[in-house]
Amino acid sequence: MSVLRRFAFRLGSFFRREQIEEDLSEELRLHVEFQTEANIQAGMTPEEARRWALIDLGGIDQVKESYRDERRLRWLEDAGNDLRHSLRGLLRERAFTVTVLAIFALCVAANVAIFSVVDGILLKPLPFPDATGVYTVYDSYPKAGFDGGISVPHYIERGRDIAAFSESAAYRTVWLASGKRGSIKGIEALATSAGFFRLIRTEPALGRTFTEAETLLGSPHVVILSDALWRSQFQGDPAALGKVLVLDDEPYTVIGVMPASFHFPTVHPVAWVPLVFTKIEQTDLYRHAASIGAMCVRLRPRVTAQQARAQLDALNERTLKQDPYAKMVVDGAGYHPAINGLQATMVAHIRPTLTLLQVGALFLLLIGAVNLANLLAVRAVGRAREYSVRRALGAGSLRLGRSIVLETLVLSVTGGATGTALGFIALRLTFHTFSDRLPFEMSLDPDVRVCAVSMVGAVLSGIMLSAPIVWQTLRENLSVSLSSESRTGTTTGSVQRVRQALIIAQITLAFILLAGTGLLSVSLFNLLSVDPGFRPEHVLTGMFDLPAYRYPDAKRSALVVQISQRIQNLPGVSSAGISTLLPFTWNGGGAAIVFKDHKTKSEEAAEPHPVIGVAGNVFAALGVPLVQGRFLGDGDVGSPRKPCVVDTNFAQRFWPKGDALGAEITPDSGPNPEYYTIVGVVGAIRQNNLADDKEFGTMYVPYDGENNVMIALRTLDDPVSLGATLAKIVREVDPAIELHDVILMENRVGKSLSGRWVAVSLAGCFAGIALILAAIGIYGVLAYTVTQRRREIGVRMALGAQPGQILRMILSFGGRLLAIGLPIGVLGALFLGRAMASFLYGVRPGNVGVFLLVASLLSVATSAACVIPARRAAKVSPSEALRAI
Amino acid sequence: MTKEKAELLQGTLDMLILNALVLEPMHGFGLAVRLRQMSREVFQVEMGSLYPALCRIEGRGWIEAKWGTSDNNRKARYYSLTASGREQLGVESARWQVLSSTINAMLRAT
Repeated sequence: MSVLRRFAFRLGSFFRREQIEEDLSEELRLHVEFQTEANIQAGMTPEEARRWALIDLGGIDQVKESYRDERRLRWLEDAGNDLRHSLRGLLRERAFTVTVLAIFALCVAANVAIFSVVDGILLKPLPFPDATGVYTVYDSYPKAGFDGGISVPHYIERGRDIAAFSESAAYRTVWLASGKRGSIKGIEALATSAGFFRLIRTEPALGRTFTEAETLLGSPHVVILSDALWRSQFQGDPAALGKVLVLDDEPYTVIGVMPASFHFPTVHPVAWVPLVFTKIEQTDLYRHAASIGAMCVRLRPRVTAQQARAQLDALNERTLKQDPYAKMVVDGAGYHPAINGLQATMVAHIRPTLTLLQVGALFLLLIGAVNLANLLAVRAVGRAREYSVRRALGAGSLRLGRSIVLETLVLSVTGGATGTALGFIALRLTFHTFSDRLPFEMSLDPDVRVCAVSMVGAVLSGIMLSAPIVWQTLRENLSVSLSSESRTGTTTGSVQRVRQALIIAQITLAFILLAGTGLLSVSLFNLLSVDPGFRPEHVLTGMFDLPAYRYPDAKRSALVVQISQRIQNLPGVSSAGISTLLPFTWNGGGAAIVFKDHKTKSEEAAEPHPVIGVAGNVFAALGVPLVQGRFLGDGDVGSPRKPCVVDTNFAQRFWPKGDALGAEITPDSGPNPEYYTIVGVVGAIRQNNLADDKEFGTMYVPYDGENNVMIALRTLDDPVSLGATLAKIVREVDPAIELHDVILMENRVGKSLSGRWVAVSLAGCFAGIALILAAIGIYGVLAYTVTQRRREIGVRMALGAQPGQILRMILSFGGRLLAIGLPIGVLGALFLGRAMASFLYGVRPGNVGVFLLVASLLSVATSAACVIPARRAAKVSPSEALRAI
Repeated sequence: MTKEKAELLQGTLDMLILNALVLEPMHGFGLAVRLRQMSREVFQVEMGSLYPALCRIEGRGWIEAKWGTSDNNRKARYYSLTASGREQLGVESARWQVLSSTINAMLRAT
């Protein structure tokens, strides 16, 4: 307390210095006057009295000085002086300052931008209260490569019977037609169970959430609006509660409005409706129809996920007894129930990419730091004489050390702050390029935690960067560095070695970063040249939804065939067709296929096979080749013969002898399936992921009344111009139908690689910067070495060394550093390549070509950085060098 | 002006200043005179110690300084004891009593 008080007193004095000085002078002057008067009264003459008064005081200036010592915050004043001194120095050496600040800012910016995403997605809890205790329960089919989602019977049983769960809830995305006939728009909504909002501890801004009764089949429809929908449909009027919104041509009563900030799990849903299960969904036949997107649970207090897992397994043992597909899914697909942290599950797909980028950014930071250490060390040696003079004039080690630390801190904090700001700006500017790949919403506002981490990092790195300089400066021998022999001070062998080690570290780190980027680029290049199995060029695609309420099944097929034939007859269209799932639209999951003849194959067929409804000539439109038999066409829609087509993956898997035609199969695992007869085999295509070469095989059936319809047309010339015509045709058939997502097929394929593009371009940026930094580092040190060795070079040349020899000497110095740094880099790159194997496609972690390329790139950069100082060394004129120093 | 002077024991000056201010606020010169008188002219307080000591004590919040006018109507900086200064004086004089009686006892013991 009293320490604090004294500090406050002195701090106060620090800011009232002039007043205090004045007071002190006045007080002392009065003291002398009083004493003089006293002396006169004692009988002295006025002159004598005054003289004795002054003597008595013992020197005004000495009193003042010791008074000031009590009063002042000496270190604060000194620090202020040092700060001014450093700022002046830094402003004078503008090139140095700008270089250092730029390096600092770049490295920090990259880290801040990426760490913001890592923090927002991986580290921060999900955006609702108590999020860490929420788990997700799902059905896992590891052998079929299918994970996630849960069936209705499993959801109901587990929510009811597992004692470990205190709460459970479920949700799935649904699309609803909003508005009245004539102006219908599709909106994305989330169907949630009654307990969903309670489980995520979120209240509506207005009204209430769903009751259990409202989730029962046949109960009156209710809807909760998003803030945006509330504002657009009801102008933000609180009286909207109780009003009716028409969705799918049925009245929904508005019962609540969510707050504008509520964005879980995504920003997309604009309304919430009760999750209602049909009777058939609840039967045993639907045990493996993963129709619910996610089941969330909270565990009871003191219950671990491990215990919950054991209970799930025990329950599963019992339910498998009444599961008609038990053998097929367990043996064939390795089915088991799974429980995992909700956030961990949601971020699982993006975690490796984010981790990779963060590691890359940290490497950059490391290289930047090494480079800065080098630059600062070189500069410190240049200033050794200044420091020596200051010490010779009496500056204490502490004071000198502190002024060095302060100067570095000025740089690191300024650079850190600039970098942090830049990082947030960069994130904002580039966010749209990858935001759709993030599993949930994250805020783009500058985050206090991120700022704090980066500023603490800046201060720490400032202190760490200044440590070697302080050490180097303080152990400098005064007499040596002050002597006229050397102008700029000398460098001891150990300092030189530290500096070389720093360069080697830079070369190593740059090699690793470059090699990692190289491997990623090669993978992307390989993927770009992958044959997707169809020809996406000149193909225009679009989608529309058939509102369920308007079209009974019979009418749907007729309507789709009508649209199909009209687009096929469009001028400029070479072929066109309809499909329920075009490649690279979304992951449609799949169905297990049942074989009429060889039931023994059921295990293998438990894998999810996409089953796609087609009409028109979609195979020709996409450019999928016919291998055997025939394509499906409009004539097959509604045909009682039920023909189907499979792709070569499927055919070769189950009929390796090529006798697939005529076999009967069905995607219906129910008790009385209708079989389809295979009439053709077509080429296999990559459905969703160019890197996925293990697709299980696709089954194409005639279109049969599905809601989501996609159009593909192959044109003779530019397909873009046909977009409007296409929309017009669809509108002519029924004005209520809206064509959306009209995109070139090429763009759909390209978009599937957008994540890789982001990763490769970021990694490329990092690697480029790393290369430049390494070159700067080498240049700086060599340039300095040449300056230092001028005299030695002069002597060598005077003794007959040729300029070429000098050039070689300096170049070989760089070569030696390279020769040590590269092999270490290769080891590191091998390690990194192994760690990022899952990102690689068609290239091995230890790809020799990539390594050679990177090595030569680094060698060229290093040599270029060596050449300038080496040439300067070779131009040294012996007489001048000897005379000058 | 040649007097036998005794060095003040380290740390006692602060206590003596507080003690001198118990009765009334005083200015620096008056304080110097008072201290000399109280010590029966034995202690000569150096001004180079007095003013820094006043500053130190002020920093601890035991005394307050204010500009005022002296008896003969002259401007002077007056120091007055604060409540916590009074408390501190009690603490220090009690400590001094213990210390001095202990030291006296030890000296007698030899």
